[in-house]
Amino acid sequence: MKQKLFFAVVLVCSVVVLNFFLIRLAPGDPAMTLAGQAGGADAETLEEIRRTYGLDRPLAEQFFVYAGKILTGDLGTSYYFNLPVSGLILERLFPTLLLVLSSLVISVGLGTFLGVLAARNPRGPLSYIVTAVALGGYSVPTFWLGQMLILAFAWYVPIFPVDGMAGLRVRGGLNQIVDVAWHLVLPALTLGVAFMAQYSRVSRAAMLEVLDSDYIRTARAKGASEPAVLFVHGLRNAILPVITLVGLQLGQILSGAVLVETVFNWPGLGRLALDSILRRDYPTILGILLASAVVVVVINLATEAIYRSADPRLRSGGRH
Amino acid sequence: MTEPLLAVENLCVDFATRSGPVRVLNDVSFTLAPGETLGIVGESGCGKSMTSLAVMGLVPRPNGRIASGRILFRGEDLVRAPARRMRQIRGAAISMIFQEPMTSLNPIFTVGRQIAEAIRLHEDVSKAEVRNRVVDVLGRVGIPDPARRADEYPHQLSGGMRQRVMIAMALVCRPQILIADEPTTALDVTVQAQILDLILRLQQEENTAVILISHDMGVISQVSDRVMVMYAGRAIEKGPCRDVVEASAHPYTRGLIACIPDIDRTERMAESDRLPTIPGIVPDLRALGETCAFAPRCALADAACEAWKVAPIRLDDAHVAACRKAARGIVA
Repeated sequence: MKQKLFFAVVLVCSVVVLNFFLIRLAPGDPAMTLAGQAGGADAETLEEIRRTYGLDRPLAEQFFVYAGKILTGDLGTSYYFNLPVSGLILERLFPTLLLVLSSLVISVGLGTFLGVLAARNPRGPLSYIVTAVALGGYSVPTFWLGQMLILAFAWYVPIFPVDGMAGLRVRGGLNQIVDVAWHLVLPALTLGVAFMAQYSRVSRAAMLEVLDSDYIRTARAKGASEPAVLFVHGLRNAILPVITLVGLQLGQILSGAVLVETVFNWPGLGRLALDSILRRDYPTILGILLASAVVVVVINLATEAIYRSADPRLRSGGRH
Repeated sequence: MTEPLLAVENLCVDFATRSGPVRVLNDVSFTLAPGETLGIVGESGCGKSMTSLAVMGLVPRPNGRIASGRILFRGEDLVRAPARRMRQIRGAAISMIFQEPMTSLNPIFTVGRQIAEAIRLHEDVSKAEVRNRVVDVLGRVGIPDPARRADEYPHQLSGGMRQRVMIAMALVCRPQILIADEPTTALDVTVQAQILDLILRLQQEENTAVILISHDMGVISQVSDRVMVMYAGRAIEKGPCRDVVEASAHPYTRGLIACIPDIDRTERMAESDRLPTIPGIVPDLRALGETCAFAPRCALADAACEAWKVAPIRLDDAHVAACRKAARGIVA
């Protein structure tokens, strides 16, 4: 585990270095963009802007200043908002995590459940339906699915709100939690369905293998009920590849969140990232990239820990 | 004879395959008395494991099904018993030990928990009581330091230890019938004898009836009261152990007995340096009819055998063989 932590730190550092230089390779000039928004763009103004933000310095110097600040927890100031990036990110981190985690619950929970049901009778109609739904969910573009859900459940059958994260008039207490949850349904579903497909496929395959094993026969021979055989003896073993997949896919879910946040006007990191890229707001982009790298690394470490606790063979003391 | 504990009558099991249904058990009948040991012997695929799975109500679905016959446990027909009733019986009144101790335990639960599950499924007892019984039964099957071992996972135990755990799990609810399907096949030779002794000792302590399944005629002949020999889904010879071993009526049984390694005999047949074998292979079950399935491999078979419709032939009160030559005393 110590080794894993060390590599995690190395990984985050490399992300910092790579991002810093890659973003400067991209076309576009932040000074131009800022000047454009200020209304004029003569050479003097551009110089002024570059001086203010240190953009006239050599790239290496800019990097060391940036790296030094990161170590003290300072992610710089947004060119656009003129506010500390760390504050901007913290403000948006919660909505994104809320969206990502709830769609993870939907995709893993529902996907695994469907996979288990499908594995019970691999040639039955349910199995084919699950496979078809999985394939559909996997193939449909997220932004299209989001818009269709909005059309269906916010427009023609207005059950859920069209966009945003909270109603304007709802403030405080339980009402606010319910209100946010209400707003969360469609975006979380949109993001969840796409990934649910893969979890149902993986858990179905894993379950098929597990149900064929000798200890399942032992469980039946003990007199265990069918649900106990499936969900206690079967799923506890079949869940292991699903946990692995969560770790692998988390980055994808996070980038999927960018699209979903845009479609649903969800005030999260993804939308801030998109807007900042369009505005050439380097400090904000770098901050968001760093934050998402940290989130991915942390959740990967958490997955690893969960995997270890779920599989006793990985803990020390084994003979095989 | 007292009322049998278990009476299997004319049991037939079919399996669906791509080329149509295959009869894997054909008209199998036997009885089991309390405290008795019945040995079932035969080559791979002869139906001995399927017989035990049928008794447990565990014929693999959806491909397998019991086509006809009755399995009477104390007079109750298990073939027609509802699933709920079968769950009450499995693991409590009838329990089973499998061949593969390495894979028959769930890798992610401690062995103590797996034994505890067997108790809790059938009895309403307190947590502390369950724990006491787990530790107690692990001690009885000869596991040293049972309180510590109970909290270990299967991968931390050796094959012999795991088979002891399986036995503990099977016996913890004091079943009336214990089915042991090749319980020693996967183990080291030195451990095999220990495990067999353990099963027999526990059987005597509790007066449990045991169905011992093996491909090894040597093991079966040592420990069984009665023996049933199976070939291609049929019971081809059955009777008291002494009769079947010393006065085998079916050529196949004689072949199996000749295959038992014996040090004295090995010295005698030094010139050939080989154990006798039964020529040929186990027949394809799909191609079988009502005639003798062993005839193509049988040294004594003649043209009449090819046409003879298989039927059990009673040699005396308890000894039965399905060979037409057995009746005429040609074999004996």
